[in-house]
Amino acid sequence: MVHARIDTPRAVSSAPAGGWWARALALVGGLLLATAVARAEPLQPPFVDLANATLTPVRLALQWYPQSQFAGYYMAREKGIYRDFGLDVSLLHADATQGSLDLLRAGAADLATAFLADGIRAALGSHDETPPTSAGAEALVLVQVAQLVQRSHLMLVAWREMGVLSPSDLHGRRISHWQGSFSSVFEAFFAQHRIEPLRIPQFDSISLFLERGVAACAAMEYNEYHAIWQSGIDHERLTTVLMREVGLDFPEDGLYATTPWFATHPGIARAVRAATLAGWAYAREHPEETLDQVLREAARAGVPANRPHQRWMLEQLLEGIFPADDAPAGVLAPEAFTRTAQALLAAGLIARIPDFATFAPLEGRVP
Amino acid sequence: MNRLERQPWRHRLGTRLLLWTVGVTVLVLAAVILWSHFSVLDRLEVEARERAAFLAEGSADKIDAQLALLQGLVRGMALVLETQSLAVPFERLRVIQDEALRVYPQVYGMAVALLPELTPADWPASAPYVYRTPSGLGYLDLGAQEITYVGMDWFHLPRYLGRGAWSEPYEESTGVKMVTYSEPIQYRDASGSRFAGVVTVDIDLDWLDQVITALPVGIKGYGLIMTQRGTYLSHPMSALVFNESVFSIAEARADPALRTIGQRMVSGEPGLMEWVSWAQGEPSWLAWSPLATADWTVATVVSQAELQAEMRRLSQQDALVGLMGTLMLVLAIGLVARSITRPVQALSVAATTLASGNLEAPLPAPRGQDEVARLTAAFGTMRANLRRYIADLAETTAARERIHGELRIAHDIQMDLLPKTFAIFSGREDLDLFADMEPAREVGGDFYDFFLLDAQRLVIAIGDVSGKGVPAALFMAVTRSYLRAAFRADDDPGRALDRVNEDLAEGNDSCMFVTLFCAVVRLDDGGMSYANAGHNPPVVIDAQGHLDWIATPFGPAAAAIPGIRYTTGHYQLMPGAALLLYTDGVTEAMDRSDQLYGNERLARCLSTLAGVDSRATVGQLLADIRAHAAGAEQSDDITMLMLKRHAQSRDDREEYA
Repeated sequence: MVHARIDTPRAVSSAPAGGWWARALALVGGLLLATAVARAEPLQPPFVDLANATLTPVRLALQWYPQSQFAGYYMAREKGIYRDFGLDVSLLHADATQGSLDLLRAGAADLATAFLADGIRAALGSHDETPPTSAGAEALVLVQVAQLVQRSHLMLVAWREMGVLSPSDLHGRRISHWQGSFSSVFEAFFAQHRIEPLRIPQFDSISLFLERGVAACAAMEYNEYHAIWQSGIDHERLTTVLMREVGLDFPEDGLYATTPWFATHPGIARAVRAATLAGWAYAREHPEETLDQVLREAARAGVPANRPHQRWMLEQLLEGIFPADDAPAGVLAPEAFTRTAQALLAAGLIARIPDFATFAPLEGRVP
Repeated sequence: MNRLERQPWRHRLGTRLLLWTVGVTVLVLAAVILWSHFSVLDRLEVEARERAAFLAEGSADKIDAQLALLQGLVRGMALVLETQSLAVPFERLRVIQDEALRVYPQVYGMAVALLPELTPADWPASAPYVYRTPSGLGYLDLGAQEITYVGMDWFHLPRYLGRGAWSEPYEESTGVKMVTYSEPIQYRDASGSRFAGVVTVDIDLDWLDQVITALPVGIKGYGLIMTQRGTYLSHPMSALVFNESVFSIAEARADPALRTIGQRMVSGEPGLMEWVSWAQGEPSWLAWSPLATADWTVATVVSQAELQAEMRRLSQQDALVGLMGTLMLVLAIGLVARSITRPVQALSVAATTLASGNLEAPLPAPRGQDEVARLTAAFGTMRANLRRYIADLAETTAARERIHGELRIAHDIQMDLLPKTFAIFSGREDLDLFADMEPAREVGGDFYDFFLLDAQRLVIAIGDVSGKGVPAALFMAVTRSYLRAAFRADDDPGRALDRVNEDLAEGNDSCMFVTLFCAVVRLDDGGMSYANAGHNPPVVIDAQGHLDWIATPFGPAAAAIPGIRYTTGHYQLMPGAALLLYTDGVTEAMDRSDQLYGNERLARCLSTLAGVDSRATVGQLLADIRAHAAGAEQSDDITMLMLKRHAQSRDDREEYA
């Protein structure tokens, strides 16, 4: 009943726990290393003398419970890739009520994953906190370190048996969708179709939808959509709308840092970006080993998980991270950024479009 | 006995009895066992299906009963809060919560969680929660947790469904896996009714396991519970619980059929199907039944193999009993066969000895009243009869031997009475006489005779006494004596017969009679006087082969009636002619089909024999008669006498004279 599934204080760390002085030392060492790395371009291959160097502790907040969505992070940590980059990365998991960006802003994390749309909104301070007043026009709350998932997996799933055959049928109906990080896209979608459904907050479960408590619910193609199928509901019984297919293809998981943190740790940010991508590459090469790890993470967190579901998710994620056209991974395309920002602007969710270079300071500089 | 010992075992009566009886019994027994096996198997299979379905339904009822209790508890508390408009003193609420956990051991935890804005001001917590710890009851305020409960299914579902709902299984931070049932509390005020919070009850999945484990599904059977999403709440394979659903397994196995089965199972309809158990790998019956209190399905898996093993055990027992019965039957049949065959064998040995002629060998003593005993008794009677018969036979044979010997002597004597020297006409080439008698038995009633009255006259006679055998022979001897005596007194044949008749008729108490023909032939000219007393008419064959039957004069047979006068006839025997006297043994000789030889055949045969001398003629005739009889037994004496006058002999005689 307590539901303390995400054990934030006991975040799994890749390095042995030390006293605070050790952390301080590591921080100093990490800073030194980061500046060193930043100077010595290109970054690859990173070399750290493990015997002598101390690792830089980094707290990375992931935006949901343990699942294949974060497989690359787990593998980067488990396979020592972060360590190879001189990092001691602690992975924190957000949950339905406490988003990863909340953790970031609260200072509980150094880096956080978030969808691009949320990243843009959060960067502009359009979240439920007062925008920075003293900052200049281009001052952003957050900056993006990497854009991992290049496409949108967000979708709406509705019961055909409840009379929903097209988006317009949703007008006036009960729809549940995630709040916070996810709601902007749906708002854009509703605005697009000029429908005004009865919005009900959606949390970490699709039970309300399966119990027919709502006519439609939000779903990630890689997660809930498949979970619904895995609840014995055949696809033919559903009306589905993939946001990326209705012009709302907004890139998803990206890596963010607060502007002040990034200003002082650009090297570490680069190292995290590179190591994370290497972790994803490893996951792509070793899917079964990766699934083993994901299932271990889920079991440790007490989250129900089964292998075929996690495999489905991993496949979806890998497709989203590694574009078919062999374009470089982890890169935020200016067009995608503009498209997302314009949609947000059009939906009235942001007042202006942030400067691309300011928002994604690493783009164009990382090969 | 040795002969029987050497008999091959398969030919023995006992063996055959044993083989047949036991063979048929074993066949019948096997058929019965097989039939019973399969019919019972069928019935048990139907029963197993029904049992599986019944079990699933019963299990569902049982779990429903338990869950309904808890739902009642939760609903009751919700009602209390609703009717009091949430104004229940916090301490009292806590007392109720603690008491509920004491009364319901199956409850893991219980909460009343209200929307923070509707929480009564005097409540120190918005979501008081009582739960079990190893050391007693624990308490905490869920509202004071880092994570708010508003997003939890147990709060969220009743809030938006407006009814009680079960959560999917989840894991507590303490590692306890549970499901939660929550009932909404409606708050009513002037503005109407609205959702205020929930009352919940937690159930440890282990408790569901216990309920399921208690189901009587056999050693290899098991029960399981799944949610509407196909997620296992309880399953003997604990790895499946919580993480896996029937659909995830179907996906992992790439088994669309399993997915369909899962869809049927969570459809809310009961069902039954054949199934290979996952936990045991056993062919089983899978039956499921939906719960009334939750969107869950209870399923039971009942092993077919276990059932079949039970059935096999039953059949094996049958077979064992059958085998023992058969062995006893073999023993019993063996004993019965022995009790039958032993006296039969003994009897058989005795019979063999009997057959070898030893009638003195002892027979086995008959025991009891059965067929063998009666057979033995019959054998005893037979042996006694045989012994008596053989004794009689020996006696009779001795008597017959004696009679036979005497008859032989009588035969010899009779033959001696008949003249055998036919060369009585010494120096006469013109006359030729031959006679023969073939008696049907040792002695006969026929006779012939010839003698010279003087140098010129020859008496020839033939007779046939009525009857056969010794009396006839004796009568014949007497007749012959009388005839010779009569001719010595008077040479006229008629008168000679008169005399013979008188002599024979006198004192003829046995009423015998005799047919007689006698003739006196003058040797020089062939003139013949004759008389006939009831005898077959003689026949004369002339030189040309013409026949002349001498039928008259003819008188009655002699010896029957006294005082008869016989007439004398006269006949001239021409040169070249032959006179044949014969008895009815010739003309009445019968073949196998009782056809008589007859006068015609006699005449035919005779006419071919003209010019042949008497001995040859008689020989030929006899041969012809035997040819006619063709082996048929001779019924009467055959007697023939022939006198022939040769045609060309006169000159010779004259020359000779």
